[in-house]
Amino acid sequence: MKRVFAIFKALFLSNLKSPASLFWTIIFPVMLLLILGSIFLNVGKSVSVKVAVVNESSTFKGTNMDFASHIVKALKDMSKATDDKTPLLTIESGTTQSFLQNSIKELKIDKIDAVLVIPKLFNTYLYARALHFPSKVKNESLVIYTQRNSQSSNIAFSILDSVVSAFNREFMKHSGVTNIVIPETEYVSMGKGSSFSYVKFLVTGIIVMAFMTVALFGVTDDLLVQREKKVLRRIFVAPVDRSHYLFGMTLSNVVLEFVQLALILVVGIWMGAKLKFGPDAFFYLLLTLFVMMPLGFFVASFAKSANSGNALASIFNFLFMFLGGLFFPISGVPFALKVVAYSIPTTYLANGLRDSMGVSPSPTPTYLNILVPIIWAVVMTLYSIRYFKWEV
Amino acid sequence: MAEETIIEVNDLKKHYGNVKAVDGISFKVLKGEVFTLLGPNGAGKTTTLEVLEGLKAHDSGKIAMFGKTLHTTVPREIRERIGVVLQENNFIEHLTVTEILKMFRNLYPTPLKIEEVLEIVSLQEKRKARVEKLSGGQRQRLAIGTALIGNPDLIFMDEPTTGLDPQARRNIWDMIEKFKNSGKTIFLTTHYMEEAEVLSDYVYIMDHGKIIAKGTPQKLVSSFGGDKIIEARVNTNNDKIIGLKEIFSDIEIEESKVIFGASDLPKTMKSFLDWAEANSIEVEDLSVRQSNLEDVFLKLTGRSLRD
Repeated sequence: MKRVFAIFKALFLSNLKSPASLFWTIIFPVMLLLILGSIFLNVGKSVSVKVAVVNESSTFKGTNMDFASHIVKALKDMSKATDDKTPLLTIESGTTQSFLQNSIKELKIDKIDAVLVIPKLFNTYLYARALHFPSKVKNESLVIYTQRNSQSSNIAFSILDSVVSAFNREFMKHSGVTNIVIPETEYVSMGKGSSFSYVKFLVTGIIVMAFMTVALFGVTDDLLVQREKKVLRRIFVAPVDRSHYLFGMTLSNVVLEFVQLALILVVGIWMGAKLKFGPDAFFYLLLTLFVMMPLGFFVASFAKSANSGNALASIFNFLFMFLGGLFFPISGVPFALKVVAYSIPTTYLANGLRDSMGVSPSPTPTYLNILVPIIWAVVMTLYSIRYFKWEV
Repeated sequence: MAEETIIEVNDLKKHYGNVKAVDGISFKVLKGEVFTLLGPNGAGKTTTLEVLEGLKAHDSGKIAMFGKTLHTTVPREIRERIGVVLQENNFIEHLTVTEILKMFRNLYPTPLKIEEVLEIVSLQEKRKARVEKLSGGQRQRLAIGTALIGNPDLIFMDEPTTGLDPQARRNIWDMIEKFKNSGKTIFLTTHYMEEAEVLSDYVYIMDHGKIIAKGTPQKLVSSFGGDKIIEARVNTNNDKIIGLKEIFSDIEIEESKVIFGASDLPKTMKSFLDWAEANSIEVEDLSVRQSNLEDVFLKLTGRSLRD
């Protein structure tokens, strides 16, 4: 154990002190998360949100006291494009109950981002308030329907809320009455549960990528580079067995992966990804860890030199990263690529991890999410045991 | 008290296809001695060492180390008693001298203190330097440090001074002397005859996988080349010099320069000068030097050690 720990300490320290390894294993995943995450957040801001306005108000129509129409007009003005800029929101408006029902249905399937309902006696209520008859009039409040945990829904809510606040200020200026309209918020949830969040999708994908990078390049470095530089020879003439080195090396990479994991989660949570951490999430994290390590062993066994090992590791890395759907969903890729995508382990690991962390339900069945990566790990381990050479 | 045998090798063979890297060698290394395998590059010295260090399995022959018979590998309890300086010494990158020594220290059951080793290999001032910033000599000293830190009884050194400048070589020779004086057994390979002469108690000369001569340096030198070597430059053509071959059978002739051994210096010198006088040959330069292992190797193989 002392020997394993000595090897672990030396390799881990060397990793921490190596600018290249530090960049690729620690900084790069976080950078990627920030870059892709912020691209998405900007996209979210520039693309307008869709709002349905259901104006049920029926009193004081066509008069100065039609307050509801002011709100609708304000929103409609905001939906007009100015200076070639994309308008903040698009409006669908209607007055009927069926329009309301339909809008809520659309909200549930993410087609629109919020529904604003102006109640029937809204104008009457406000008029009564302006005339200081509060006790005699039933509160007729605005209702905003939004989706919980949806970025765009939150944005839509903020816009509607600010329009209502602006209306409140105007009304107060003319009537002297404060706090007239406080919108009530109603949440609807999607049929499947919480809505899709790209940041959460990205964080889980980057965790898989980070584990893969360490396994591929860390193991290649610890085995091929050290073998080529004859460091392994020097270590093995000391009272160190190969198993000591293997365990020390694996431990060094696993610890590095945990450091990465912690960092990615901290940044991810800071970016707004609320992830679930149940036992199944831990299971998938460990599965990813132990399934990726043999991939590194395979590269080290297949490649003759450190250079070719690095090239092979890069090929695996790119293939598994993009076709594994770690950054973007792979639902849109052509059939031929889909065949590859559904035969590589990262696809299943990412699906399983996302399902277990409450990001999105897995499109592949759970048994495949576990089985396919394990088959890869077993095959690669067997290959490595058969073909790895400690000496060249 | 009978001398303790540390290594005993009998008829060791290691072949790579048709290449007989080690072809049936036998030797014995005694406790506390500096044992040297001397030979040109490719003689099979490193392969022999690699077998003894456990890096390579031998094809046949018998090896015993510290009284234990070795089979395909060198067991850990024996490796705990061995320090190794390989021919090429690289370390895990980005670590400092101290960190490297610390790692190796933790691999042995009864190691020396890091400070102690830093002092022996004179790297106190470089303790915080990263290994990639060390000079060739410093790297080699660190390699010796890593071999020493486990407080071994036996140290293997494969060409420890190859590629070093004379000063750095001297430093390492001094260190090896010190190890020897502290009772450690040193197994050295080298192709520098001075090194073998200065350091060794016992030398085995190896060529093409075989031992071609063995003995203490003095014994080897006197039995193969005579004690002294005479070198002379004469102002004549080759035809006349050839006549010298009848007088001195071991003579080497290089243009106008002649080199020959002299086991009885006054007598040999007199015969040479008599020959010169009789043939009216002017001797332009005449010198006498101690013969060395290089002369022995030349004599045995017709080649120089550095060929």
